[in-house]
Amino acid sequence: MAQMEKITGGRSTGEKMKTGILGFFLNLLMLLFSISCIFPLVWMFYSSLKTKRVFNADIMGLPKSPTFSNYQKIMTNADYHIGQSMWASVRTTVISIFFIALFGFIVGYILSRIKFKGNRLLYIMFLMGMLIPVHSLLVPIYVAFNKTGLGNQWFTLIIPYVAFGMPIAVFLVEGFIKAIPVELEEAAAIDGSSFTRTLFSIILPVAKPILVTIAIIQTFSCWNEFSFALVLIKDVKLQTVPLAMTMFKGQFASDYPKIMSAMLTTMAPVVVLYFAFSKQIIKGMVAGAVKG
Amino acid sequence: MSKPSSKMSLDKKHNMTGWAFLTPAALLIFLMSFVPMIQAFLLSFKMGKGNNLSTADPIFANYTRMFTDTVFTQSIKNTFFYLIIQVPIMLVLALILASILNNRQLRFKGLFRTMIFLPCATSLVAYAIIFRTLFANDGLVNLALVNLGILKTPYAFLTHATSAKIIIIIGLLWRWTGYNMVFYLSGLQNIEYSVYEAAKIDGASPIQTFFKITVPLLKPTILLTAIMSTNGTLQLFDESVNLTDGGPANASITMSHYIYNMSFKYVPTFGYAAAMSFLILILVAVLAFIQMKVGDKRD
Repeated sequence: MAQMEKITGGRSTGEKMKTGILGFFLNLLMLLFSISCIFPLVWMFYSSLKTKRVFNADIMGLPKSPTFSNYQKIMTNADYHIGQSMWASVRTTVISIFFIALFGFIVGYILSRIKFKGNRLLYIMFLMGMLIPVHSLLVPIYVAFNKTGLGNQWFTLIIPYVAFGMPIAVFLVEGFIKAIPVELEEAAAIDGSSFTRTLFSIILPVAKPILVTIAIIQTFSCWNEFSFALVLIKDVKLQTVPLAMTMFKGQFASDYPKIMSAMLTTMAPVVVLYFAFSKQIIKGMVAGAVKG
Repeated sequence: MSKPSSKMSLDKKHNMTGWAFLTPAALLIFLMSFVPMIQAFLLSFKMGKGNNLSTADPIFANYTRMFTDTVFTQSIKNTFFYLIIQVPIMLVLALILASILNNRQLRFKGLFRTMIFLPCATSLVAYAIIFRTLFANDGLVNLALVNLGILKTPYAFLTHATSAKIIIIIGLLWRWTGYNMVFYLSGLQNIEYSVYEAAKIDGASPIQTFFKITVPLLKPTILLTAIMSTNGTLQLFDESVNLTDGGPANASITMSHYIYNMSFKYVPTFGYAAAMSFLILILVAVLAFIQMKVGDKRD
């Protein structure tokens, strides 16, 4: 990063040494904190390469003869529902993200650009959607879903995920669009560009960073969502990852390496996504949350 | 939509496509948030178990029941304990980490940032298992404490009330500090670095700089994160369920967890659960309102 260039010109050696020591301690502090953040995952990874017996004898040590047998077992045994739950999670997450981003983009754009009666009312309504405690809505939603037959279907979870993911998307897009100069759209309108064309060929490319951020943050929350999955899904075949993992944990209470390999397998997609996009996520948060 | 005279045809087109997307989105929020909220409110005046519901007598019976329910009062105490201890520690820690990360003498910024934000992306079920294993009797923490001679015998962290609550707090800190840090970091990047350079030339200490420049300039962001974290902690559910299962003997249970138990774990008493839900809703609204007012005043 360009920011990291040191500005040391014109200072005495004493000063330089002082900042050098300070810099060293800052680096050390950050290093320690970062390690504490990443250690549990590293520990989980190398423990998953041990057998149950080796792990119980020494929970801390590195595996002397690493084995992938745990991974083999959990992936080949269909009774564990690992592959099935991952497919359920992928399907639910991808469809939810598509609708969250689509609605978030269009509604956020309309609320930030077009003045009409009820604009602020709608904005407040979407904002309140962010504040309402989800757990207090579980009972009525559970009752309504069971009555209407919406519960326990392959698409069941998509409905609450879109409904509760959309408010924050609207909020972030609204803030982002407000910061973009309006001239771009005015020029397009003079050229006779339709609303839909302006929206998708001019605004969409500009708003891409915030949409990517929304997509990634929502991917984490959809993939890891627990409460709705717990209440609305009864069929084992439709269980998403968090629920399947809770069951798995109960089944193999003492076989930690096996549990850990299952955890890591089901966590892999989001962690890979995270490492691939971490810069983009943070950039998007700058754009959306603070300037908004 | 109102029509400004100059751009009538454009606004007409806006109308069509705009409403085509606004309507389903608004309808979805309305049906999934507002209708259930009203239903919960009506339900809170009903009594009985399962589907045999009748109007409560006296009408506020579910609301008065809350104050005599020791588990519920315990859950309120616990939730506020988490709120008062964890939120300030987390926000201060996030702020300190962000200002260190913003320092130009620091190397490997991208790497640190990525690592600190990582717990946010991990599954809560997975991290619950990690924490339970770390704090188990034969877990890493006990192993280290015994080997270092601090403890003579392993301490059962999860079966003692206070330590169970502390584990929940540590879990929350581990998971959410990085998330809040990113908000501060983005706020800091909007502050010109020359402000810091100037302060340094004027002889300001790092601590002075932190309190006189960083904190005031980040105030809107601090307010935002404070509201988000307060809201999140009042609704705390996942950690209580997965880390301690509310135990030992409901000592670490949160309000949302108790409501869940009342609705889905025991014989359902939906009316009472709905009444408790409403109390949380009011608490969240009141606290958010107070924070916004306090934030406005200091401007």
